Amino acid sequence: MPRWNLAAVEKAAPDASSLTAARRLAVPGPWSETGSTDTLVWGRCQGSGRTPYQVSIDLAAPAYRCSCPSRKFPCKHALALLLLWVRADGAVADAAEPAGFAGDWAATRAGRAAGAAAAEARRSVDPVARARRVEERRATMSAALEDFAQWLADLARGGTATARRQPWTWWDAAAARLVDGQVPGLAERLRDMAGAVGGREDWAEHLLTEAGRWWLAVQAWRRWEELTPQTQGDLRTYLGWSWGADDLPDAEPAAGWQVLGAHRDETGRLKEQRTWLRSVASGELVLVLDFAGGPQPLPVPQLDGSILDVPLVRYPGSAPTRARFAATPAPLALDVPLPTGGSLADARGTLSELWRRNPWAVRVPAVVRGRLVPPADGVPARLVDEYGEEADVLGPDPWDALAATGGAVTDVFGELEERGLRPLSLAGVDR
Amino acid sequence: MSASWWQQTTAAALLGTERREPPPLPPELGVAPRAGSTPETALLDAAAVGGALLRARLPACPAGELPEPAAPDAIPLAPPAAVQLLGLLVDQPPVAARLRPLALERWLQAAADRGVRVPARALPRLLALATQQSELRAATRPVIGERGRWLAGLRSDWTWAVAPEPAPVAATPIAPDDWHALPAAARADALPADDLDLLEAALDDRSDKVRRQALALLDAAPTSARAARMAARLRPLLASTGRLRRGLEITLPTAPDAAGVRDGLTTTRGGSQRERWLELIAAGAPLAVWTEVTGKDPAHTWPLITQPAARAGVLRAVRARGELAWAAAAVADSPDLLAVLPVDHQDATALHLLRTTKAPAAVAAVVRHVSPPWSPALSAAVVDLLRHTTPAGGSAAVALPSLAAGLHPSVRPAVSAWARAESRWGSLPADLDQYLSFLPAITEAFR
Repeated sequence: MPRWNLAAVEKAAPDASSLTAARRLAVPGPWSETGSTDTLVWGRCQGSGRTPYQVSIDLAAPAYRCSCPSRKFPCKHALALLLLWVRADGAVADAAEPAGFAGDWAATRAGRAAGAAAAEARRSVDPVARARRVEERRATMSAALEDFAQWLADLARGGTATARRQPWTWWDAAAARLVDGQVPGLAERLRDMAGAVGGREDWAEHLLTEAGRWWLAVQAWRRWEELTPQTQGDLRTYLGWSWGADDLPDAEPAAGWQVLGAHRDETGRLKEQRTWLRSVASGELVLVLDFAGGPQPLPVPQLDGSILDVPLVRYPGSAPTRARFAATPAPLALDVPLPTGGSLADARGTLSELWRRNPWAVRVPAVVRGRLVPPADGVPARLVDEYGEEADVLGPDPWDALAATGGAVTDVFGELEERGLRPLSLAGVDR
Repeated sequence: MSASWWQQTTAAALLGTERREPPPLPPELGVAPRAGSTPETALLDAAAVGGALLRARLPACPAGELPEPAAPDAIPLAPPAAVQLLGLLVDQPPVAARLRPLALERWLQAAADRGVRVPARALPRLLALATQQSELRAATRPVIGERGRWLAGLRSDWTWAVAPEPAPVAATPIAPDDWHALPAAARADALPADDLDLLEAALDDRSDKVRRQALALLDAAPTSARAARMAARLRPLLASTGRLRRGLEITLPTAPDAAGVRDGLTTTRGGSQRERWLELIAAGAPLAVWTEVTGKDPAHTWPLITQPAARAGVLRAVRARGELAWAAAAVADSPDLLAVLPVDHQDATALHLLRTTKAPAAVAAVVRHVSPPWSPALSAAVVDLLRHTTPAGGSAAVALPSLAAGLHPSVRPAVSAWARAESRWGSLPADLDQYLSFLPAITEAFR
């Protein structure tokens, strides 16, 4: 098992305050009975209470266990232990066998994973009940979408200029009706638009083309039976009809997937994590999308540049394929360089091509070789490829990426969207 | 896509189909209009088709002129342990928040001494910190490397890191004619401390403000004509007493003449006027007058001056002129004179002062006026005295950064003991202890 580095630990933190708290604990003082094997790190951390917290970390998964009451994963104790461990100065000693509590935990986990796999295999499906549930859901959605078609016609009749003057509650009321009608995906688009009409210079064209997309979704829904399975999958994702285990194909055999980069979006009421993977064998790109609501944590992010041996379950739909891990990934290697980047024109071509198949798609992953150019005079930071073409850099703060590249040509992995490119990881940079 | 068709569609969308009919789909698209379409569905269809066409061909965006990338860095990177420590200092200081700039400055200086730079990933946070806390800037500049200078040149709030350090502005001598032509407030500000003729002339200025400023500057100039006049006023007031000239008798001055008033001996409301004049005369006259009268050096003359107003005047003169022999003679009575002593004398004098007076005021003077870092002996004396005193209101908070900067690491055991035993000083001993225990890590990390 390759050793983690500091950046990997920082990336594992659920938020900045956890990392801050962990740094305070990353001193030998409060720790006892620490140790590590190839796959486990463990220790006891003296907190304010009498009994020290028991912390165990499975490096391979990664997975964390701590006896503290924190609802964050990993908690500050686990992060602090990792910080101590990556220092490799002997504060966490190497051991042949895990300590009692850590070993027990690892064994329980292994047992539970086996149990879950067995339960999956035993899962029985009642086709009649399932078909009835699907019919009920489709009827509810149809009613909501017909109602929405009427709303769209009203929008067209009244004009987008009038819609722009509407308060946020006007958009929210329509969105709430879509949520009630079990179309949460469209509802989210509507709420996004409430902000965009006030904030974007090109709001008129943006609203018009988005309304066209919404309309297209309504039209496609009316002809559901005629759609290809791929388009059904794309539309279902767009409308927010989530996938149950019954709807998904069986897992593929485990294969090597490189983690290109990940993005966490925690602005909305729903936290979202997008992890982009690239097949080591074929170069195919897939997206693992995780959601969490309320206090629920997102799954621990995989390490950029690592290669995972993992079986995937693919969701129906067009490229980029959405997938989920069918089992705990086993890391094969760390810090594998990104594939060589291409041009922005190619990346844009890929995005257009994707839209041809899936008009509701938002973004494509792309590795672009180019230079990051600093923002100036109200112009945002840009990525300029080797052919002199540019794209705006999305995201609030480009300065870390600028510092890392120094404006030199690098391979940038990111998400290309209509408005620009969001860099997620950089290759060959001086850190 | 036909541009005019899309334009008309956008216009119809803005106004609404109630007021503007959407244009028909251009025949060259080959999309048949919907059967039974209404103006609303026609517009929505057009939006769907137009949007798809726009997305099908994303326009190329040629970039204009590009700034130069950063030059490669010739100087090496700080060692990994030091880089980790820097991350700690920047993100989660292992010392009290008020001491972070001090610890960070130590790190930056250690890096500069070793001739290494900070890694690129640390630059944005470091530059942002030093932008907020300008006392870090001087130490930050040498260690940011080419990458840091490149980065700093891109943001107006970071340009301090690439701008040359502001040189002290050399005062250009001002011609008397130019000076006279200035308005009163500017005349006071522009008074040159070293132009004794101009200062003398300024005593006759119309403006009270200019006259007061001239008097203050002349108090610091023992070779001026005014100092000579003050000497002439002081000498008759002093008399050595006793056969061995062991005493000094001081007479209070009488009401000054017009020349005296011109030299600043004015009348004020309240208090003893004669004592006040004595203080002003002592503050303006050359200190040599006192040693002439007693026939002894400053160290032996100062104890003879027992009259309070005379002492106050002499201390004012010592402070204004920075006369070392006098500062050394009077520092026990006025510990703020430590600031007047040369840096290499401050430490030993302060130590002597603490050992002889054991006064909290002396500690306060040490903390404020002795340049850090202090010797192990002085540091030990400061800690010892602090442990046996009670802080005056708010002084613990004020003293913390100065103490941290001054104390020698060798006093850490004493500080630890203090931190365990003490509550009167709040978190100060514990904060100091933590800081002193952290310092060796910096040295260690750069080894």
